[in-house]
Amino acid sequence: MSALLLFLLLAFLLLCALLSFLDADHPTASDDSASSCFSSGQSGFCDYREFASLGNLVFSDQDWNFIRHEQSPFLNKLFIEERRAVITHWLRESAARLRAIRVNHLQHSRLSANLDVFAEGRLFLWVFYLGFLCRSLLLIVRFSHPSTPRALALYFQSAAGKLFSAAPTALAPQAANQHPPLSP
Amino acid sequence: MDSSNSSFKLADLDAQKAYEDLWSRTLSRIPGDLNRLIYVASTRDYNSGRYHHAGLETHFGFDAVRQALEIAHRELFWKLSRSCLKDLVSELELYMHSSGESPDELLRAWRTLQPYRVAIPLDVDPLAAHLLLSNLKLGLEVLQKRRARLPGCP
Repeated sequence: MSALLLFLLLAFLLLCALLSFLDADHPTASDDSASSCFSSGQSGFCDYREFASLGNLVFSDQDWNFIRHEQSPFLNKLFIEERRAVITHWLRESAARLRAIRVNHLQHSRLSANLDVFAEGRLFLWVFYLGFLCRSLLLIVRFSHPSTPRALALYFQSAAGKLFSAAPTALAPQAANQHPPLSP
Repeated sequence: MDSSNSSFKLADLDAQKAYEDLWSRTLSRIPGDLNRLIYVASTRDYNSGRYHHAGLETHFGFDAVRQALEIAHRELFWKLSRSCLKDLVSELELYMHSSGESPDELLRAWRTLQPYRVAIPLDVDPLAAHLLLSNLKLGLEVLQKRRARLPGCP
């Protein structure tokens, strides 16, 4: 029994190490992207609707069914490579966004006079949980078909979207004024 | 998409008029959103990123025309980046047939040089741009495969 527990602990640590390795692949680029997104007030990924619509698109089965219908192994392989790259981009942007929200919140909470420890702890756990989901998705996408984790990705999108939609009001108040809306 | 369902309201009245003029006289006569995107992108200076349209600039102010072209460019990009692969392949086919070039030569040039990369507007979501470029690459490969299956093609 103790051997099994030890094995599970080791497996968990290995998984955490692997996930943090995957996450640390291009941390600077993603961080830069997220911070420039906030500082410039650029519409697009900064907007939750954009985040949600792009998430729905990249994990959709529709394109895969279309490619499969072409009956070409080359096209199947190319589609998987291309879509995997786009999904990885989406997940890295999400991870960078979560990190930026966490850092920004920490900076603001240091200045707060009446800190609610319970609420802070809950928020920390929520951001940690979303980060874990994001890294797990990166791992799944790297080793499986891009549309495999669709259900998990949509759950992540919904959960992270609530946080992303709440954060920009505090982080990028000029976002709506910089560019006209893209969607008619 | 035509001017009637392009519902952007610009703050600048001149820019709004330029935008409506652009749609009614030019863009509505171009078949397909990809054709329109390429056309609008071609009005942008490669070095400065500024838009120029001599015809519109004689009637509207320089800034109004720049704004109208920029909005139309972003609007077309937004629509295409959210298209499914099947629709994008249809757009590519339409572009290929309306270009007047030999389909094989156009496919070879587009697959090799990827000129569609310069058709992305400035300051758009990098992920949306990545998705559109990726889908265009896939769409071109789909068309190439389809042509290769035609009898008499190498």
